[in-house]
Amino acid sequence: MSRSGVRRARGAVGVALSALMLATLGACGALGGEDTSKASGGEGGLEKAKIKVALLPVVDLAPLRLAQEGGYFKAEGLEVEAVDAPSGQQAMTKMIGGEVDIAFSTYMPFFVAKSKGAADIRLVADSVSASPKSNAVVTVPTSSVKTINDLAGKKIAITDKNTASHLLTVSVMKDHGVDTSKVQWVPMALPNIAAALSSGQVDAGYLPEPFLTQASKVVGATPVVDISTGATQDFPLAGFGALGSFVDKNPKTLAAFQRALGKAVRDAADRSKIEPLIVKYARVDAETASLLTLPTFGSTLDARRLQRVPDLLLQTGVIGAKLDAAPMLAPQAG
Amino acid sequence: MPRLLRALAGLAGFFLVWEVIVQAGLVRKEFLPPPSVVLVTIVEQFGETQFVRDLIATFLAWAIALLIAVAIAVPAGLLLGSIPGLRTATAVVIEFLRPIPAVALIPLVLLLIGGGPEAKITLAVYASLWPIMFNTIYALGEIDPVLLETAKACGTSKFRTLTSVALPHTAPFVFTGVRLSANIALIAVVSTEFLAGAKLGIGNFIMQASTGSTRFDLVLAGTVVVGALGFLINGGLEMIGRRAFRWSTVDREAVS
Repeated sequence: MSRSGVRRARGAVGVALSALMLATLGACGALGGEDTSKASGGEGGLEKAKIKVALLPVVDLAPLRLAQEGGYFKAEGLEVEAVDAPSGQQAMTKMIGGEVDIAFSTYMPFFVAKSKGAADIRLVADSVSASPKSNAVVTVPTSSVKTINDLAGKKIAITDKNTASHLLTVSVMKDHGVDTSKVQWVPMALPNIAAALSSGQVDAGYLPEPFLTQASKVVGATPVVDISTGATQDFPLAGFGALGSFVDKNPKTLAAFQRALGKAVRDAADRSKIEPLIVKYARVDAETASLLTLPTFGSTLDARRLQRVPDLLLQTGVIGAKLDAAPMLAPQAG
Repeated sequence: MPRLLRALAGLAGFFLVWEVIVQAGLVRKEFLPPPSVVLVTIVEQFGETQFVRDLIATFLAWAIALLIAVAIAVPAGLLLGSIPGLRTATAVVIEFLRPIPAVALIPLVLLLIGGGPEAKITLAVYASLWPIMFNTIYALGEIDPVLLETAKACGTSKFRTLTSVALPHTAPFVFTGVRLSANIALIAVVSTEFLAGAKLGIGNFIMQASTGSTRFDLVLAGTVVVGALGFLINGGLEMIGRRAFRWSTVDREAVS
C-alpha cells in the first residue's frame, strides 16, 4: 500500500465526513425537530404560546387547517405545531407519552382509555359529527348484500374492532333488527376497502368520506345504510383530547385554541374556503373533494350530546361500566 | 458512463413492465397508478415546499444517523477487533441485540426519548451499527502480520500502530460497511417515519398519503423517491470509495 494512497484516502474520507457534519450542523431546523424560535410567551397572557397537536390526514380537520393557514391561532397569540400520526389511537399515544399537548381522534379511544384508567383524558374541543350521507355501510353491485337485512353473517370491512366504524355499524344493524352475532368483521385500512369490495374479499364495508365518494366513483359502491340515521343520527364522531394535567395548567391557552377553532368552524360553512385545504392536507384529488359530503363540523362540546359515545360503548360491551362524559369535558370557551 | 446507462436501462425496463401491467388492465389504475402518472406526480411534488422539506428532513436524519453510527461503530470495532478477550465477553450481547429489527424497537424508543427526529435517528443508528462494526473487526483480523511486525520492530507504540497501520488498512473494509449501512439507515429512518408518524419526512408523507386519502399516486411517488434517494446514496458512496481507495481490491471482492 503506497503512502500517497493512504493520504488520499484519509483526505477523501475527511472531506466526506466534514461535508456530512456541515450539513448536520447547518440544518437542525430542517429535520423538523427543535424549533429554536422562541415563542412569545407573555403576549396575550397565554400560559403556553406554542402547543403541539397530533393530527391525522382526514377531511374532519379542515377547520383546524383553516385556523392554521388563515392565522386564526396567531390572532389569539397561539402557535400550533402539527405532528402527524397514522391513527387516532397513535395520536392519543403521542399525547399520553408527552410528545404532543393535544391529540385528534375519534371519541372511542378517548373514552376507552379513560374507562380503563390508562390516562386522565379530557376532551377539549369537538371536531365532527355524522351528517347524512357522510358515513355509510356500502356494497357493490356484484355483492350478495342488497339491503341492510342481508348484512347478517356477512363479511364486513371496518377499520378495526371497537372503532367508530365497527360500533356504528353494529348500532345501525341493531336498529334494523339485524343479527350482528355472526358477522365476520374484517379489519382493513380505509383506502383498501374499495378494492376489497370489488374483488369480493368482503361483502360490505364501512366508509367515511372521502373514501365513500371515491368508492362510488371507482367501483360503483352504493350505500346499504346511511350511518346518520336512527340511534346514530348526528352521532359525535371525533374531537380533540388532552391530559388533565395540561388542561388544568393551561386554561387560557386552551380557551385561545377553542376560540380560534370556533371561528374556523363558522368560516368552514363556506365550502370554497376548505376544499383546497382538503386537497392539500387530506390528500384527496380535487374532483373527489368537490363531490364529497362534508361531515358536520363543530367545536364546542356538549356533555349531554357526547354522552351518546360512552353509552354506545357500554351498550356494545366495549367498556364494562357506565362512564360519565360531563367530568371529562374541559371548560368550553364560547 | 456506460455502467450508469446500463443500470438506468434496467430501471426503465422495470417501469415499462409496470406501465404495461396497469395499461393492460390487470390492476385498476386507481389502485396502482402507472409510472406515467406517478412520475408526473413526482415532478409536481418537487414544486411543493412541504414535499421538499420532507425530503430534506429524511436526508438529514439519514446523514446524522450514519455519521453517529460511524463514530460509534468504528472505534467499537477497533477495540473489539484488537482485544480478543473483550470480543469474547461481548459476543453474546451483540449476537442478542443484532437480530432485533430497528422497527420493533419503535414503541420502546417512543416511550424513552419521544417521537421527534431523535427517535428515527436513534433507530437508524442502531440498525446501521452492525455492518460497520463487523467489517471493522473482520478487517483487523485480515491485516498482514508482516506489517504489524515491522511496526513493532521499529518501536512504534500500540496506539500509533493502530492509527497508522491498522486504520488505513481497515479503511476500505470499513467503508464497505458504511456503504451497506447507508441503505439500512435509510430504511430505518423511513420506516420509523411511516410507522410512528413524524413532523416531517418522506416516510411521513407516504403514511399520510396512504392512510388519509384516495391518492395512490402520491403513495407511489413517495416510494419511488425513497428508492431514488437510496440509489443516489449508494452510487455516491461507491464513487467516493473508488476514488479514495483506488489501491484497494476490497470493494471489488466484497459483495456490493
